[in-house]
Amino acid sequence: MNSLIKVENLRAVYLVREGTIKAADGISFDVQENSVTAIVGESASGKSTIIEAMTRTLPPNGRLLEGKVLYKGKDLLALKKEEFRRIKWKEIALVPQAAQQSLNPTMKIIDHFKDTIEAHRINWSHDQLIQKASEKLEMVRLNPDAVLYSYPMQLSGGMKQRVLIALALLLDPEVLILDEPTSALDVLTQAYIVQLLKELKKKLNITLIFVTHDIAIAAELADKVAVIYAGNIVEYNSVFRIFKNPLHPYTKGLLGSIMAINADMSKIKPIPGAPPSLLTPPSGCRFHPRCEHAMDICKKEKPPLITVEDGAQVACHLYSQGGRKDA
Amino acid sequence: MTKESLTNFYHDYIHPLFRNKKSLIGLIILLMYILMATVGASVVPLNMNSNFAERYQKPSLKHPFGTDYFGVDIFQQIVHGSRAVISLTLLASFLAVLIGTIVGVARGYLEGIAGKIIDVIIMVFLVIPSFPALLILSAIFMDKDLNVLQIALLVAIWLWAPLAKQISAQVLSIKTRDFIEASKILNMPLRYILFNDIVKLLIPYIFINFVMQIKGAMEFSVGLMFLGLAKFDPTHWGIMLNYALYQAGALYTTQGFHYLFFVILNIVLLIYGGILLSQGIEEIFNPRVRGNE
Amino acid sequence: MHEAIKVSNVSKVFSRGYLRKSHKLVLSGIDLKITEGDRLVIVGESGMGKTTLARIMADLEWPTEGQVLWFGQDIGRMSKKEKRLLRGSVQYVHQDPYSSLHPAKTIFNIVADPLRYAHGLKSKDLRKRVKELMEMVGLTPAEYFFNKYPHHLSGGGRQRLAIARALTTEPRVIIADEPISMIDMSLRASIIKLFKDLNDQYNIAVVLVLHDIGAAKYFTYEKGEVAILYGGKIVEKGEGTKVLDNPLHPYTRVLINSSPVADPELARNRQVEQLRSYAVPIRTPDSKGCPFAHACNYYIEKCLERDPQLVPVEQNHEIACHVFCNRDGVI
Repeated sequence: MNSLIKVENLRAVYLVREGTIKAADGISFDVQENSVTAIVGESASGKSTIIEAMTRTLPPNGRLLEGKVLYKGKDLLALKKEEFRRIKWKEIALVPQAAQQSLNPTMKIIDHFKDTIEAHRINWSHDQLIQKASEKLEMVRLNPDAVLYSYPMQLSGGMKQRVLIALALLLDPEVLILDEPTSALDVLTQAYIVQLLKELKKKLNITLIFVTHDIAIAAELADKVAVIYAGNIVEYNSVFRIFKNPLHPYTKGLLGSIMAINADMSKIKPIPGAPPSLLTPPSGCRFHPRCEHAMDICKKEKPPLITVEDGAQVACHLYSQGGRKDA
Repeated sequence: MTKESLTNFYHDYIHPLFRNKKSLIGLIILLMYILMATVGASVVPLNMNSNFAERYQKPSLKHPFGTDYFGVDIFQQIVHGSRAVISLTLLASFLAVLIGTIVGVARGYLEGIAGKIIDVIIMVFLVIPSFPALLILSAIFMDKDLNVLQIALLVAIWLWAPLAKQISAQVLSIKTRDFIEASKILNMPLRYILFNDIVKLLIPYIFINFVMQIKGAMEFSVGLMFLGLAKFDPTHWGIMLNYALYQAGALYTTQGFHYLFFVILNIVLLIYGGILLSQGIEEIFNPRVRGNE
Repeated sequence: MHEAIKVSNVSKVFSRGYLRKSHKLVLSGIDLKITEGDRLVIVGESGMGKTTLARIMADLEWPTEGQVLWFGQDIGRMSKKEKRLLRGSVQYVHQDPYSSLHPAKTIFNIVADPLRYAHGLKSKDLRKRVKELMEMVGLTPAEYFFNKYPHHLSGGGRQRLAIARALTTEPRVIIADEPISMIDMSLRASIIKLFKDLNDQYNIAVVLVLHDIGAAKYFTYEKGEVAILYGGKIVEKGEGTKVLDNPLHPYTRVLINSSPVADPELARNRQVEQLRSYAVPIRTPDSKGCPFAHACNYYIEKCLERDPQLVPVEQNHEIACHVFCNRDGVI
C-alpha cells in the first residue's frame, strides 16, 4: 500500500504578544490511499495546526517553520499558489467545523455552492450547478429542495455539518480532511454523521483524514489513529491495536480517563495534572510532568517517533526500535 | 466604610494605578497640569499688557514659550489658562461622563416603559443641534452671573448623550451574561450587581470617553465664552488657539510658529496624559489586555 | 429522607409574536423529584427541554403550569423574602464556564464576594474559608490562584471555580447544566467525580443535566436516578443502573446504543437502529400523541393520538410508552 500523503517534520508556531506558541513540533505521519486516519488530541494539542498547515490556511499570526506535506510525490507547501489552487478542493477538500460559523449566515446554501465553484474557476452553468449540488446533498441524506434555498440558521447543527461535507465533495476530491466533524453535535446526530462518513468512504473510495478530541469516534470510524499531545505525535497505530494495547503512557491514560459507555466505571481515572502551555512547553518529552513512568532522560531529550513491532509507531523512551525496553 | 474595606479599595483600585507604568506616567502628567492650575497660577505672574515691540519673540530665557501677536508672554498665559482649562473643561467633561453614565446605567437596568422614556430623552439630546440651542440658552442666561459649576453644566448638557446611549447598549448586553445571573443566584444585592459586575466592566470605556470629551468640552467652552455666557478668559487655551488661528494669522507666518506650537503642545500633552491614564486603567480593569503574566 | 426538590406536573410554553400567536410547548407534564443527598441525571439531546427543566428547578424560569417545591414548599407561592432565604440552598452551575465567571474579578474575589455579602466574613476568616472551598474543588494550592484571573484557568479549572462559588452559600442542592460539555475529554471524569465527592462527603443533592450517557452512567452507577427527556417529556426514569443497563423505551435504547464506545470491534459489529426521523419534534399545546411517534419504528395508531403516561415496569423503573408497556405494567 502506498502512501497517498506523507507529512514530514512539520513545525509551526503562532506569534502572540507573550511569545511564540510552539504548536506543531516536528510532526510526521503518512496516510495510505483509501484509508481513514484519525488524529486524536485535546484542545491546544496542535491538532488543528496540522490541518491548517496541510491546507495552507494558517491564520495571519501562524508561521510554518519547517516541513513538507507530500501528496502524490509533490510537496504541497512548496507549490506555487496557482498550482496549489488546482489541487485544493478538486483533489483535497476540507470540511471545517460546523460549530465555528463556517457557513455565511447571510447567504443561502445554493450561494455557498456557487461561491465554491467560482473560487475554483469552474465553469458550470446554473443548471449544472443545481444538479451537482443536489447530487451531493442527496449523498449526505439532505433534501435538496428544502436545503438549497435555506439560510444556515434555518438548519440544525447536524444538517449544517452535512452541508459542509456536501460542499467539500462537490468537485469529487480524492481526499477529505475533516476538522472535528462531530463536536457540538448530539449523540444521535453524531452517530448519524459517523454512519454517513462510513458509507461515503465505501461508495466513493476516498481517503479520509479527520481530527477529533473524541477518541471513541476514532474507534468507530478510523483504520489508523495518530495520538497527538502538546504538538507531538506520541503514538500512531492501527485502531484495533491502539485500543487493545496502547503503547504510550498518554494514550493509556487517555483511554483510562474517558467515560465510554462500555468502560468499567470503577476503573476510570483521570490523568493527573493538566495539558501544558505551548508557550513554554516542558523540556524533553512534553508529557514527562504527568507521566508515572518518567525517567531522567525524559526531562532532557525529546523521544523520536520510532517504529516498534507490527508497524506501530510510538515516541517514548520506554521503547527502543523493535520493542519495549524494560520488557 | 470600615478600615478593611478602605484598605481593600486602595489595594484593588488605587495601588494598581501606581504600579502600572502607563497610568503612572499619565497621572504624573495630569498632576503636573493640576499643579500648574493651582499653584502655578499663583506663582507665575500674568502681564496681559500688549507690548508690540516684543511681539512674536522666539522662545528664550525671558519668555520660555516666546510671545504672541500682542507681545504677551505665552508661558504665563498657558499657566494661567490652565486654571480655566482644568476647572471649566475638565469639569465639564467629568459632568458629561457622570450624567451619561448614570443615565446609561439606569436605562440599561430599567426596561419596559421607563426604559423607553429614557431612550427618548437621550435621543432628544443627541438630535438637538447644540449651537442654536446654545444661542437660545445664552439669551436666557445672559444677565445672570454664572459660576464655574453652572457653566460646566451648560457645556456638559451637549456632551452626555452619546455616552449614555453607548453605555445603555453595553449594560443591556452585559445583563444577559451568565455571571450576572450567577450573582443573582448567590443573592448578591443590587448595588453589587450594578457596580461590581456591570460598571466594573464599563470603567475603561467610561474613562477613555472622558478623555475624548476633553476636546469637545474645550470647543464648547470657547463657544460659550464667545457667546458671552461664560466669563471671557483670554488665557484659556482654546481661546488662545482661536486667536492664533483666526486673529493673529499664526498659520501664515513662520514667526508665529511657536505661538501655535506651544498652545497645541499643551493641549495635546494634557489629552495624552489622559489617554495614558485610561490605557493604564484598561489594563487594570480588563486583565486580559495585559501582557506577560 | 426528605424531598429536596419536587417538580409536579410542570409544563412550559414559550409564546412568541406580538399578539402571542405562536406557542411552543417545551415541557409537558414533568413529574420529577430528588431526595436530599441523592443524585439525579436528566439526559436529553439539544432541543428536548433539558436546560429549561433545569432552570425551572433552580427557579431561574417559571413553569406555565404545575408546581416546583423546594423542601416541601411551593416556590411559586413564596414571598420574595421567603425566597431570598431559601435561594442559597439551591445553587446552579452554568454550562459555559467562560461566560459564568466575571472576567475582571480576581479568582479570590469571585469566591470571596458572596462570602462577604452573605456571611459577612472578613480578613482572616474570609481567607480561610476561600482556601477551604478552593481545596474542596481541587484548585490547589489555593493561594497560588488568589490574585489570578479566570482566563488563567483551563475550562476544567474554571468549572471548578464556578462550583466553588456555588458552594459559598452552603447549598443543599446543586443543579448543573451540562457542566462538562465545554471541557476536554480527559478532564471530564474528574469533574463528574468532584460532583460525586461533594454528594458523598457533604450530603449535597446533585442534579446534572447531561447528553453524554457515559457520564450519566459514571455518575449514577453507585447510586442515583436517571430521567430521559424527549420532546419535553420524560419517557423513561428510574434508578440509574436499571435505566442505563436495561433500557426499555425505544428512544433510550437507540440513545444508548448510539453512544460512542471505546472499542473498535464492538463499534463496528453492533447494529444501531435507525430512527425514522432525527428531527427535533416541535410541539404546541395542541399536539396530540407521543412526541416520539414520528421517529419511532414501533408506533401504533394509539401512539399518534394519546400521549402515554409513565408506568412502572419494575421497581423504581418507569417508562411512558404504549407499545412497550401497557397500563398494567406488562411489557
